[in-house]
Amino acid sequence: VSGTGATGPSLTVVESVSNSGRSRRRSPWSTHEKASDEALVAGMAAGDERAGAAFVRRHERRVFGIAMAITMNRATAEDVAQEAFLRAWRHAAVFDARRAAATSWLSTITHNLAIDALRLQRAVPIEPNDAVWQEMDSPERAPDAQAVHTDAVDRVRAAMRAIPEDQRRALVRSAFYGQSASEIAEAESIALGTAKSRIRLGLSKVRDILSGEEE
Amino acid sequence: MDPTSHDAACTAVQDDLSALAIGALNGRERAIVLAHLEGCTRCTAELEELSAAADALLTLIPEATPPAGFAARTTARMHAEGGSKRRPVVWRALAVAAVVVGLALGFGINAINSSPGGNSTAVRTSALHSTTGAQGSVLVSSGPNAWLDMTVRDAPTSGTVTCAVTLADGRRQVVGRFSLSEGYGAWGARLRVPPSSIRTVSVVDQSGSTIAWAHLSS
Repeated sequence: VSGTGATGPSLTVVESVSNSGRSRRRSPWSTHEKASDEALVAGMAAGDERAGAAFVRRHERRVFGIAMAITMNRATAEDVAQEAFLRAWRHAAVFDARRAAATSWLSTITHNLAIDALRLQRAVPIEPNDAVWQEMDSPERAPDAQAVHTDAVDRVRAAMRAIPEDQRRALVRSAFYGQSASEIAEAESIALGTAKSRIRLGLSKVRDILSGEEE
Repeated sequence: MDPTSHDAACTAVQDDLSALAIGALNGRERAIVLAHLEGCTRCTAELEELSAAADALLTLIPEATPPAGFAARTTARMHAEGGSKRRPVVWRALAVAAVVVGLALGFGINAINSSPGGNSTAVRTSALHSTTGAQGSVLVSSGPNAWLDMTVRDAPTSGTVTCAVTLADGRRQVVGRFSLSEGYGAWGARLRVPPSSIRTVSVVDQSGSTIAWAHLSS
C-alpha cells in the first residue's frame, strides 16, 4: 500500500498492489488527454473507447454549440450532438487527416445532422437565428460566449463583416441553415441568379480574405 | 475540348461552384457542376478552396455547454456500438494478422483489446448528487481495461479535487485528481480495483469535504 500524499484529511488511501511491485504512478489517461485530435480519431477507428471519451470531452461544447445554434432546441440539440459523435465513432476509420482537420470534419457532420433535424422540425422557411447574427455582427465578443476565440475565428468574423450585408445573409442562410439558392431567392424575394451571385461574390471574398490575398 | 470553350464552360459554372461549396444546389444543378468538374482540374481546385472557406464559416457558431451527463451518455452509446462491432473469436486471429500487416481495420485493435476469454464489458452510469449545487455524471466501464470517467459542473469550487471510490467491503480508494475550472471539469482514469466492487464515487475538495457523490448499483 502506498499513499500518494495530499489527499485530504478524511481520505484513507488504499492502493492496490501492482503485480510488478513498482510504485511509480503514471496516469494512463494523460496519453489521451494530450493526444492530438487526429491521434484520438485513429484510436477511435481502432475501437479505443477511452480515445472516444476523450474526443467527446474535448469537443462536446463545440458540437453542442453548432447543434443548438441550428435547431434552437436543447433536447433536439442533444440528440444531434450525440448522433454526431456516434457517426464520428462509426466512421473514424475513413477519416482522412490529409484532407481536413478533425474539428472541421466533426463540425461538418454535426452541421449536416442539425440541418436534417431542422428540416424534420419545420416545414416553414427558416429565419436566421438571432444568436448567430449577434455573434457575428457584434464588434465585441459576446460576454457569455465561451467559444475559443482564436485568430482564425477572428479572421473569419472580420471576413464576414467585410462583405455587403445581402451577401452575408445569403452565406448565413446557406452555410448555417442549409437553405438552397432557390429557398434564399424566395425568402429574399430576389431572382435565383441573384441569390447565386450573392453566394459567389460573398464566398469568393471570404475565401480571398482568409487566404491572405485580400485584407 | 479547345481552350476557348473550356473557359466558357468554366465561366458558366462559376456561380454554381460557390453554391455547390456551400451546399445550396439542388440535385439537378449539382449533377451539372459535378459533370464539368470531372474534366476540369482548375475548377476542382477552385471548389476545394471555396469549400474550405464555407467550412470555416461554421467556426463562427458559439460554443455551448451541453446538458449534464452528455459526455457520459454519448460515451455509453459508443460503448454499446463498440460491443456490437466485435467480431466472433474465429475472426480474431485474422484481425491480429491484419494489424500486423498494417491494415488499419477498425475491428483489429478491438479484438486485441478483448481479453482472451472474451469477457464482456459493461458500462454503468450514474448522476452525481450534491448538497452544494454541483451536478454531473459518472461512467464506469468494466472489462479488462476498466476505467472511470466523470463530468462535474456547477461545483462551488475550482482547483484540484480528488476522485475517490468506496468499495463493497467499505474501503475507500483514491482514483486520481483533476482540476475544476469555474466549477467545471471532465476527467477519466483507468481503474485499479474491480469495477463491480465500486459502490460510491465521490469528488472531494482540498479541505476534504465531499463536493458530490454518485451511487452505483451493483
